This record gives sequence, structure tokens and C-alpha cells, in this order.
Amino acid sequence: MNEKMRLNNPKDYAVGIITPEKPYGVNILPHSFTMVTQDEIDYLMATSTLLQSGVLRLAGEKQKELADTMGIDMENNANFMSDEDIKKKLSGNANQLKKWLNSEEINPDVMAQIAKVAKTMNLNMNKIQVLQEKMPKYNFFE
Amino acid sequence: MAIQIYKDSEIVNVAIAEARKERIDSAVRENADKLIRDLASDPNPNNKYQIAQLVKFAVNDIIKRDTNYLDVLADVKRVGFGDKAEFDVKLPGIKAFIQAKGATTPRTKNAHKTVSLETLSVSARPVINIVELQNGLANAADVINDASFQMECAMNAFIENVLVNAADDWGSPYYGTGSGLVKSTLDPMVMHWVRTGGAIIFGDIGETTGIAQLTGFVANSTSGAMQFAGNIINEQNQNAVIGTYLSAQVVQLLNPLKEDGTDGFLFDKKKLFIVPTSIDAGMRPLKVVFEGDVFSTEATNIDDLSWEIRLDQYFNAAIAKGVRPYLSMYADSSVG
Repeated sequence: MNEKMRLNNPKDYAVGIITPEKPYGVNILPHSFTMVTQDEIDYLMATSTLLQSGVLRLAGEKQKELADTMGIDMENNANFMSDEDIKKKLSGNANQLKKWLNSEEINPDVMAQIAKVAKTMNLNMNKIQVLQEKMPKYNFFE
Repeated sequence: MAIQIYKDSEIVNVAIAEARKERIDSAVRENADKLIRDLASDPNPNNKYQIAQLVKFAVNDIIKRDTNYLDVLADVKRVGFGDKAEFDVKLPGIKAFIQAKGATTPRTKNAHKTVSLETLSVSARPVINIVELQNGLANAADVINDASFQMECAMNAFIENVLVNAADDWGSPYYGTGSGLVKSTLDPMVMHWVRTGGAIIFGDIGETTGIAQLTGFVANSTSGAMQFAGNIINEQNQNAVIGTYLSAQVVQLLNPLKEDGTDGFLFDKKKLFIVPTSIDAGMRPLKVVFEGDVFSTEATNIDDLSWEIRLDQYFNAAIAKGVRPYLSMYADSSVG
């Protein structure tokens, strides 16, 4: 049986998907969802980077299973982290922060999320320098 | 008598036409080539300077013409050497209120911030063997063509990089993505700007050509098959891109191969930009400054007697977002 599951778009922007079952495409509005089958998930994994980069996520335990299938460590991959998780990572020392930021390819919108969280924290100069080097687009010294 | 080449000299126009592979009268071409050979045959400092001037004027003219498209997409300022360009970025300003008669109207003022851009240099340094220039083996037109093309490519890639870097963390309707070109995702972004008066969609052919497939309608609900207008199919087959989509003009960005030995292209093949056309140029988020014209410096290398011309154009590009970005970017997240 091809059971349907919920595919969430946790982002602030709309994301479209095209699958053999949705040949004309479906727009998933920001912070909204659509229902998809396992076949569609497999198809999206093969034809796009939306699931691998954490732009679209399955609901609940299904996402953990999917991440395991893709070999993604959601605990340490910035693209799958909440503000709280990012805060924890930013609380480590500068070397750990540098290692974490360089360990995965981070989505630009996640970079913005990290920058936003970092600006709410009282970080030391070493960590600010690491962040500034990795994200020159944001001004961490202001 | 020493030959002097000026910006509007006939030979500059011939060199430009030759570099652009335009049709030139053979006698005119022969005269121009002879003039360059004559200058090169007596390589005194003035003659070498004159050839460098010729290359500079021609490159400057070609770059100016080929970067004209920026006037439609960006807030472009051309300033003199040493001058600074200042861009006004509009912030939330004067508001009107509907209120009870005699109530106090809140005070608002017209607000803007000023952004100043320091310039960088886009530079090329072609080397010419002066003996080859004398005997006609080296062609000044080739140097002009290659130098201007490479300088343009470097500038365009820089500008595209500025656009992509700025837009990739915006929210809807300024940024959207999909596993391919998804009509229901792209349309609201296009309509957002068309609604304000008009828009231009531009990007690599891989994306602009896909727009034709979004024009179909499901007229027969039984078969569910998409139907396309005949003229769209013809236009697509003839030009690989349709002229308009949802009333927005569709423009294909020429995408040259990178000169780094890879098969990569200069511009991102997976991005589409949607730019409103009805807004004031000053409100466009992409700010581009050109400081002065192309200038040249020439020198002969004493080690191998090669003669080089260094060409520089000072410029810069940045995104300055005021109230809103006035630009949208669609990123195609499909692989391949």
C-alpha cells in the first residue's frame, strides 16, 4: 500500500514539487504542507536536492527514517536544526563552532537563521570572528 | 607626423566593428590594419601608446554597449575618477490615515538612507608580440574582442553573484524554489511584480526555455492532457524561449563557458530573476557604479620583448534593500 504522508515546508518561502503523481506541480506555501507517497519521496530524492538540504521535511519519525536513509546526522546538520539547537552549537568554543560550520554545506536561509540567533547571544570575539569569516554577508560586529 | 588616436577617430570605430565581426568595407579594413602595422613597425613610446589608446577606446565602447542592459535591471551610476557614487535607498516614509474629523494625524516623514559604494577594478592584461603585430600575425581586433569579452564576463559574473548572494535568504514572494520550474510556485512571484505594472524574467536558457511548458492549459478534463498554443510551440522551437510570460518579458542571459578548463558556465544555470520594470530606477535594489572609463597602461617586458597593455575599469555592485527588495529569485532545486 502506498500510504500518504505529510511533507512539510518549514521555510519562509514557497517550494514547488513535481512528481509523476503531480505532473503539473504543487506549490507548498511557507510553513505549510502537502501529502505525498513513499514513491514521490523516492522520486524527489532522485531528482532534486529539496529533501537532502532540509528544505522539505517529513513529519515526525518519518523524517528521522528518511535522514537515516540519506545518511544525514540531523543532530549535527545545521540545515535540520531549530533555533534552540543552533543556540547550543553557538555556545561551544570557537574551534568547535568552526568545525561545525565547515562540516556541512549550509543553506543560505539557515545561515540567516544562525546569524539571527547569534546576534541575540553575547558571543566572544573569537566566535564572532569565526561567524564573520563564514558569513561575510552579515555584520556581526555591529 | 606622429599619429594621434582619439575616442572618436575613424580607426576606433573600425576596430570596434572588426572586433564585433561586423561587415566592414574591405578598403576601410585594409587602411585600418595598415595604420596599426605602421604604428607597430616603429615601436617608439608614442606609437605603442597610440595602439594602447586604440585598444582602450574600443574596449571601453564595447563594454559600455554590452552592459547597457543593466540600465533596465539596476540603479546604475557612472561617476568620474575619484568621485563617489551615492545611492538613495527609500525607507518607510509618509503615510496617510483615515480618521475621525479633527483627530490628530500622526506625523510621518519622507525617509531614505544613503549608501556609498567603493569601487573595485575589473582588469585584463593582454600580451602582444610586437613583431607579430608588425607583420599582421597578431590582430588588434582579436585583443579588443577577447579583452572586452573577458572583462564583461568578469563583471557580469560578479553582478550575478551579488544578486544570488543577496536573494537566497529572502522569503516569499522574493524567493522561491522547486524541484524544477513549478508553475504554481513561480506564477505568484511573477504576478507579484506584474501587478505593480510590469516585470522582466531573466536567466540561463535552461530555465527560460522551461517557461514555455508552463503556458499550457488542461482544456479537456477527460484526458487531462495539457494543450499548448501553436504560436508558443513555434516561438519555442525558433528561439528556444518565449517572448512573454504572464505579460512579463522573458530574457535569456547569454552564458559563456568558464575559462578555467572545466565545462562549467559563468552564470548559475538554475536561477531565474524577476525584476519589476515600473518602479523608479532609484528603488531597484541592485546598485551598480562605474567609476570613469576603461583606462590603459602599457609596458614592454625587457626579458622577452613582449608588449602588454593593462586595461582597467573601476566598478562595483551591491544590493541595498530599503522597504522591500523589488526583485525576486526563483532557484531550481532539481538535479542535473
